[in-house]
Amino acid sequence: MTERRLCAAADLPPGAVRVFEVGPWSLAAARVANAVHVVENRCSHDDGPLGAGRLVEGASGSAEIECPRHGARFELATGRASRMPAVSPIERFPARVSGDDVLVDIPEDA
Amino acid sequence: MSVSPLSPLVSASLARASGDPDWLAAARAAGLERYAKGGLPSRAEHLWRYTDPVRLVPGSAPSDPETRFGDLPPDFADGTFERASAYAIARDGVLLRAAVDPLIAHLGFLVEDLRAAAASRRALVEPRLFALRDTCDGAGGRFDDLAAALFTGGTFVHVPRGVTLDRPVRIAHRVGGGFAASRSLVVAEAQCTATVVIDLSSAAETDAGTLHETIEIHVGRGAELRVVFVQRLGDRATHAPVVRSRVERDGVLDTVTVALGGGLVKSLQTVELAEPGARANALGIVFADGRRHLDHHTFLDHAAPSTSSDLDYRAAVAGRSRSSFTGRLRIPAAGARSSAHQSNRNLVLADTARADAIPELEILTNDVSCSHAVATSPIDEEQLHFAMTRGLSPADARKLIVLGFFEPALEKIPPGMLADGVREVLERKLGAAS
Repeated sequence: MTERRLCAAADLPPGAVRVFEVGPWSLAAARVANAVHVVENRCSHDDGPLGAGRLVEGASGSAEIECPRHGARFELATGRASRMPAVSPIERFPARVSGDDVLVDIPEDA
Repeated sequence: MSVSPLSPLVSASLARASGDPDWLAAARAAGLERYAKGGLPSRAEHLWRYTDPVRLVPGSAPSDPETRFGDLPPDFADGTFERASAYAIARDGVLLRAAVDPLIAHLGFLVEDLRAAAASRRALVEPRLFALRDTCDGAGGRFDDLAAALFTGGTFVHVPRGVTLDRPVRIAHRVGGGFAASRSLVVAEAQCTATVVIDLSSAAETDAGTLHETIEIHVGRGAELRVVFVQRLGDRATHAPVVRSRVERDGVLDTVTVALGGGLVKSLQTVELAEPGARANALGIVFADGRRHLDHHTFLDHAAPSTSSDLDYRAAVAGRSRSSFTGRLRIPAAGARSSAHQSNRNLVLADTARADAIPELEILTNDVSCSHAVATSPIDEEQLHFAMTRGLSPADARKLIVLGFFEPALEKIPPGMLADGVREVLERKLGAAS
């Protein structure tokens, strides 16, 4: 894994979802309260652009992202699919805020 | 990656056009204008459902082409002509060298740089270059327009009327880490017979270049042309090939498409069967491993009566890779008495890999014979068990089954050319994937 800067913390305000292209990856980054979540920008059901989706609160109170194409939802903290039609998890990447920057860990083989 | 401003592309297009004849410079300008006006395709459009077009937009102007090719491929016997009628090598879209067997040079077939040919052989090139842009509904035209505006070079293959080439024309193309655009034109005149074998590779496995490539193929009346494409790019390369073909009366086009590499591939292949009796056979094999994303679209248009086509695309996906195949087949009312078969089979070698298959049949007349088939599954346990009862290890049994799955396409590659190399690459990848 390589930790790299994704953006300035100010560019990702709470409640926002943004898309970043990092090497071959298209990533969707979201900030919920003080936590930053980075997941692949691709729904596991039909490849919908998750980064264009909205943030919602799941049944268990977890932060989730909803795919704009068919409404599948994923838990941001785990990547787990929480609502049909998606059944497989999406990939997520460890991310944190360090000073003024948002940092993300991307696998070396990417 | 953001969508780059157009101005560097405009100046690059102008610079490329500076050595071109007026008609070609005008065509480049028209291509750039269409590209600029077109807007990016929407992700909601079905052809872009699985691939974000933004990832194909160049982040910069084309880099200057490298002028050294590096080591030649093992099957490349430049200078001896035992296996090939002609050899050519290209780097970043520019033809560096081409040689025709001197013993058959009197036949008058040509393998040369497209831009040079545009200047010196206008009568042969101008009527055909860009002529297929709007066939098959102009599908995928936007990036085709980009390649029209920016292409640095490419290969022109011309086989005159009635000539039979008993050995293939062998072309090797290598790309580096920058952005390149190339364009090639293959013309098989009436009653000729020829085979063209093209392989594409990365100069270094780690090169993260982007290649926009358009190949236009014209098959004349009664001509028989086979074109073999072998793509062995590195893991980080992006490849956006557009292959457009038109087949005239009683002509036959055989294509074999092998895609083994590239991190992101968005491929479009169209065939217009323009006159009665035209036939197209299209075989494709796709092997994806690691995190590769390979997206292939084909469009076969039976625009004339009594035409026939047979398409068979096969993909094996391993690791966390993706393969998408969208196969469109159209028989309008004008295509009565045509026959068409399309099949797409996918072997899923890992739970984390995925293959999507979307056949699209648009048949507007009842007087046809049409069939299609799609299958997606893991390796059949019974086949695996059977191979293991013959003493093979599970890994060897898997290799054997996957290679067997691809064999019908590999058999169509001319002997001594690339087929063994493709098998080696597949065996290595399968060894790593199992």
